[in-house]
Amino acid sequence: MSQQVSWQLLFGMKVTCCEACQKQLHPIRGEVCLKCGRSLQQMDARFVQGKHCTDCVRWGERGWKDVLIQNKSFYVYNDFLKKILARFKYRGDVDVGRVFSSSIHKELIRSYSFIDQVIPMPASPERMYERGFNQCEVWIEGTKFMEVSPLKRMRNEDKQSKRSREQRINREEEMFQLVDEANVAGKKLLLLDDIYTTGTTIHHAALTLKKGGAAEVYSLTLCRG
Amino acid sequence: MALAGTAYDYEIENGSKSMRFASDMLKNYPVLVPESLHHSSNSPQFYPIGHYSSIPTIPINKQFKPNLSLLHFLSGRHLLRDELPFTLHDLHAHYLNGYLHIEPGIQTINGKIACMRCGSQQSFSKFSCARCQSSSCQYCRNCIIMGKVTFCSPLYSSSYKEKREETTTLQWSGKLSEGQKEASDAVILAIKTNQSVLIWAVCGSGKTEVLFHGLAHALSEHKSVCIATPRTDVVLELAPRLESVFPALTISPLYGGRSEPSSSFVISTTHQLIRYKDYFDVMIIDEVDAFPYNIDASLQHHVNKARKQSGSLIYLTATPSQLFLKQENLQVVRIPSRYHGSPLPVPTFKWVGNWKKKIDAGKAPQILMDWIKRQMGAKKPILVFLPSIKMVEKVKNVFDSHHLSCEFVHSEDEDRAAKVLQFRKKEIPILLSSTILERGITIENVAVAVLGAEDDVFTESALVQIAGRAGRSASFPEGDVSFFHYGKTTAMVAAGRHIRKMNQEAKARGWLK
Repeated sequence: MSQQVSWQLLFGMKVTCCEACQKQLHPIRGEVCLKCGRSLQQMDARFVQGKHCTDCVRWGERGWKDVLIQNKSFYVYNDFLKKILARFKYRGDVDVGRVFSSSIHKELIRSYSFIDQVIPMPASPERMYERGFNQCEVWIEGTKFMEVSPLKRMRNEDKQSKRSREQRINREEEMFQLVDEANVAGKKLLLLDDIYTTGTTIHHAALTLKKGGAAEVYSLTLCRG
Repeated sequence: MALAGTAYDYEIENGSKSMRFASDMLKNYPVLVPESLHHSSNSPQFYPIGHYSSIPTIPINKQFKPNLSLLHFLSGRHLLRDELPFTLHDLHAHYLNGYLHIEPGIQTINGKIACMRCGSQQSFSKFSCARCQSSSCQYCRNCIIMGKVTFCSPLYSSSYKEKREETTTLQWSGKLSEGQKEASDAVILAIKTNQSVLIWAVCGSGKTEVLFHGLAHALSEHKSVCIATPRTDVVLELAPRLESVFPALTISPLYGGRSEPSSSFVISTTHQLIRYKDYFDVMIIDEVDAFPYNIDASLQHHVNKARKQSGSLIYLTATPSQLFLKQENLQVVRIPSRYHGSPLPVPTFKWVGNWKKKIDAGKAPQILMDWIKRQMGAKKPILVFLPSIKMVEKVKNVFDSHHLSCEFVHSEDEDRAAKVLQFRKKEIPILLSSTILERGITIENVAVAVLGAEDDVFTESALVQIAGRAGRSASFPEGDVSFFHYGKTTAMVAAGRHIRKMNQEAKARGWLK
């Protein structure tokens, strides 16, 4: 059996990626920060405190401790994934993003059966029109996880990637709101996003859900920046 | 991708969340109206533009005052909504008054789905589209790197043509060789009579000068001109050369990273021509046989779409393929001699046995080393071609261990331009290269070698081009070209024959010194 075939069997998907591309994807393995899911082994010891990274310790110190229970990420964000995500998100080549659909779907079934609703990270109306699609929705399109989202992203929002780290963490305006008919009270929710970098987007989305009465909020991202 | 700060962003800000159209009637003409601009009280059915199989052109309304900067921007172009920094309202008004045309980006032609921009009839995919609200909006994957064409994308074009007022004269006092003169006359005739011609000009014959008088003629008649090439390097080289002989002319160089023209005289990579339609009166294709133009059908489509079918078409190359030459009604003019009148250096073949094995063992073939030492003794820069990037790196290691000072370049090398410059300045005595430098590099007095000339990558045309690097300068017209090989190939023999035939023809015509 060729490796190409086994890769397809493993993921059982329509859109696959070749072996050369697969080699450039680096799954996060070994000991990870219990909060944000980044690899602790690859970090300088100065930035590790017990089972957590110092970034997560700081989130806790600033009063965000119980907002997000835990993030998990599939891959280390590298130049290859940067290129892949650029082609997917900015160029709009949706088929490129679909390469990950099957592994995300499998993970949702395997590790998140206790979750009441999966929420793809919403895009602002402007971004949605500009790109024509929501990249996180692509990953669960056509599955039972695709539901009407209780969360919406506010408009007039600068692109996150153009902000400095300080600007990103200390933003005060509300990034998200619940939609009018949202009912998240007492629910266990999972946010699905492409990347966890500083964690700002995910924490703010989780906060909005918590304020709406959500019991627990988790997140799953394709990569950890 | 949206251009930063364009009217397109303005449109999003102002709540236009749709790219759908309804059909309507305007003074007995069927027209399409975008959803966000539809104000009548009835609520028609809105569809993605791909739903409408034919969109009639509307006659120009002379009472309408068009926005000249919009017409200037769109003149001859074939653009997506996201590439136009004008409001939808503006665009629609120009459409209703006959100044611009819209067509669906994806259409079904003879029962086959096709991208109207790149011409691809395959590699389509579907996605759930926020612009047209279709759950299966088709998009073209083939040209997505140049912007996304979907089933709901209108493509905008304009047949409006600006009159160029400036008069441009050729300011060049150089003299054409007899071969160049003949080709130059053929170029002028093709431009005058809107015909096609292939100028088959040997490496170093001076083919740019061959264009000068033809270009001057085209400009005097205010024709739009495009010089297309598969390679960005050529665009960057050619633009300043033409600027210096046509000082009053505004030239628009187009390549990846610079895609907006400022005039109707364009020097463009074949990729960038995707954004033109029915525009150029004169289309000149340089190095028509070069990669990737020779293998990429959509690049050929771009060139064909960008030119006026009634215009002239001029091909330039030193190495046309047999297939290309077989075209019916193709007029061919050959320049078999170099501008300096010395014959082309004929390659010598040198058998080196299993050289790969030697390289793997950290050694270089003795015959090659002797040749290199001779060239170094004669103080010649040495350019060595190798069949693959891997081999380039291996040979570099071997040369290093023999204390031969050298550098290497290949297609994935980011410092390529800097290294070539150092080589040109003689700061690097030996340059190892993959086939990347087979075209366009001119180094005075260079000695050229191919190690592994038997490899499949060295086709007849590649070898002719490589040999064409030597002896180009009038001060050093005799160059040494050596093919080191492990068994002669048909391509090697054909390349040798090709070069000798050109020399014979040049001699027979009395064009050799």
